[in-house]
Amino acid sequence: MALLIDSIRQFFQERKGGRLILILLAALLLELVTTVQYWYTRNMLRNEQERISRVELTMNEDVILHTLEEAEMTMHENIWSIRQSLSHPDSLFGAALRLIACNPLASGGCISVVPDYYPEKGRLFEPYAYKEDGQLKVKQIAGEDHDYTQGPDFSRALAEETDFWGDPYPYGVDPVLQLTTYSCPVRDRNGRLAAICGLDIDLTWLDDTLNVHPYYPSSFAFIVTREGKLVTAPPDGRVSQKTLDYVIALMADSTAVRTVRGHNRINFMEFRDPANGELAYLDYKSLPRDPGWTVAHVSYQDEVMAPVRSMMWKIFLMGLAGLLLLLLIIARYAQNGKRLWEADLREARVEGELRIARQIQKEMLPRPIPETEGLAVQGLLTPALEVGGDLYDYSVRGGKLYFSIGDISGKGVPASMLMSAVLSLVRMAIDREEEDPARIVGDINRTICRNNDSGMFITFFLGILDLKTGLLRYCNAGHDRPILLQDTAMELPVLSHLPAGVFADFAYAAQEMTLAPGTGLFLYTDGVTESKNAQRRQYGKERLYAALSSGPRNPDILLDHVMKDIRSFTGDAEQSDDITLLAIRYDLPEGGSLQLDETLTIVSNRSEIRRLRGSIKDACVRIGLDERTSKAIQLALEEVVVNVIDYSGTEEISVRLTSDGKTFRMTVTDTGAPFDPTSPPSPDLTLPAGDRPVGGLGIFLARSLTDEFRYERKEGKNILTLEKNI
Amino acid sequence: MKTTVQEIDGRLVAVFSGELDTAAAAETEAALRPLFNSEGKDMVLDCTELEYIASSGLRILVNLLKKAQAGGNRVILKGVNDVIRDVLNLTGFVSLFDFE
Repeated sequence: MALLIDSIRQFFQERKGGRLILILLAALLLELVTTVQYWYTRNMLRNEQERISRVELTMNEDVILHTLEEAEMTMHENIWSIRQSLSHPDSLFGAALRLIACNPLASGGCISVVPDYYPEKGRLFEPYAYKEDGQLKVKQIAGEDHDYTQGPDFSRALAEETDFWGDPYPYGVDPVLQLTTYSCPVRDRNGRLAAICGLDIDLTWLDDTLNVHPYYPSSFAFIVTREGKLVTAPPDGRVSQKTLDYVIALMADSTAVRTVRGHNRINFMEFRDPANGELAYLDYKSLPRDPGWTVAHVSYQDEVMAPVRSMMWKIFLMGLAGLLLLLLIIARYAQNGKRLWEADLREARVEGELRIARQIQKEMLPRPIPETEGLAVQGLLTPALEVGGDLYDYSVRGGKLYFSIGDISGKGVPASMLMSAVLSLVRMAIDREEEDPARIVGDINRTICRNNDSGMFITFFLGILDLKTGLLRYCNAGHDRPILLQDTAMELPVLSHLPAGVFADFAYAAQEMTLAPGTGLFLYTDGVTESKNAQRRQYGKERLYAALSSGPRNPDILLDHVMKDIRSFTGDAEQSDDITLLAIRYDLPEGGSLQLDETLTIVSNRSEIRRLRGSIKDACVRIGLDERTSKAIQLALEEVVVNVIDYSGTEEISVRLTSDGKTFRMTVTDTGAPFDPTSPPSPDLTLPAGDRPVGGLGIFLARSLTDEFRYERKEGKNILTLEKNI
Repeated sequence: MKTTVQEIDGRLVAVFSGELDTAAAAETEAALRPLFNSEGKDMVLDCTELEYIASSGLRILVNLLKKAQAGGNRVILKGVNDVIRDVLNLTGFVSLFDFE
């Protein structure tokens, strides 16, 4: 996007005419889109019209064919009975009645006997059945005033001697019915043509049926005979006679241009309605059988294309609005071009600075250290939009993990510069393998105070973890308390110190703690707990602790877990401060055990016992022994050492503690007089208290508490070895 | 190691707090003198806060028990934790004392 804007800007600066060309180009494009859309839509609507017409015509064709076939079936079902009745002229009345009785569309039925067939009935005889007020009636209608032999159907039937549909004709007054007659010649037993049977079918209902629910408001349908006579007409008032006549003439005009569409061979013509001058579409189709009538459907272009017109109007208006907007923007842009250009430069410069600051921050962060046996460290710094002043660091030097986290008050370039200064101090301290975290923090404090005109300070935590012993020495300068992760998450106890950079003389003190294997440490900056959601609520410590308690212990998975938890809380809310996480897991080396081998030397004096026990306690914690085992080991060792002090008369006692992860071995060596604690008999525990000897109990306890207890005298030394399976 | 002694409801109650190891034995024994000097009173040793006991500590308890039994009184251990109970089990002292 920025690239596009840049190129447009360049375009403007290079050529003045460019602006006009751009506007014209935009307008042209707009026009092109509109046109394409217009034609596409038109075409679609045209297809729609074709489909509608096809459906209309097919439906109407079906209706009319069905009607005709019904009538023909009625006739053929009755023709045999009429032939039987020919021998008794009067029974023809009943036959005529039966003919119309079962066809609801039959309005009348006549049996027009050929002249002089029945001498007793005179020349003409024509029984006629009809419906009147829902009643079936029958009468003889031939006479002076009605000579059926003069009718067109009769003479045609005589001439062709086959059944056929006659032309439709109006019948009666109020209502005028549109009738059509199906005529069928009837022969007597001798094969002589005896009568013409006619079935009058009422087609008046078709006028309405064909034109019910037209798809387009003014479209209409009708049926004409081959000769162009209307079989059914659109309802009164729907279409002018002039239009109808014109359309019928058009269909008959063999010179008119027409297209034949689709597999059901529908004729299509366009014409201009003479009544209103509108362009109209005519679709028509002839019945594939006698009487060869034609069904037709007319729709007006105006209505077919109505959707595209209203749409085009909208598109046009929108396009116009878009064009105007474009013009406005360009005009404004041109006006402010220079000013904007300069502002952009300024912005770019600031942005460049921010980028540099961000780069400093990013590059100062430590490279990941390979996960070694017993140690995994993972840090994550997610900068806010504006560069904040978070930092973290870790590195292993001389068997110790140095790790730190900090948050500088302030943002941007000054903060990132201070950050790099702090990290430099930390790394210099690591290089000289400084062991006192308080001294490092003190250095940082003084350095910041010395060159701090802007009053920035940093909350900072630094820890040095001895990977061999699990001893953690740390110093906290006003930073959020790190969290210890064991079975649960709990705060690491820290002294309340001022942040670094506030008072140059502030005395920072170090603290110590021995981490049991499997212990995790989690450090964070306040960007975590102060992350806000859309409702401006803070993520808070409670959520963090909950996430940590339920979270995995592997640092990189843990950080991922915490980050996801924060994100799910904040949702889409913008991150306002750097979020920094640092997780450490101090663990047992591969195989799940920690090697231990250390030797303690004490003066042979009871007052040394407590110091000795403290060291053993630490060793037990380091290799992850539980409290009960630890106490048992302490007690066993205390008892044997007290025994040595009391009886061997040595100056010094050396205690070597070793462990391979399975067995905890204590080797107590002294140079005193030979003394075998394994020789005194065990006290009799069944004796009542009063009968018990005092003494021997300590050794007994030590033996009971250990799995191996042996004594040897070697090179002038008493060597006592105790082993406890762990 | 801290030991306080007081009389409650006619019983002498000693409350231990800390680790009764070899180094603490002498001072603890001194602190318990009122119990050794008592006549005709039952004794309660509150071990709720007692974290550790060495044989020297056990010896004090046994001596106290000898004294009490001689006068026909009981020594009751109260609130003994698992670590102490292990030691008492190992030494068979569990059967000598009363527990509460």
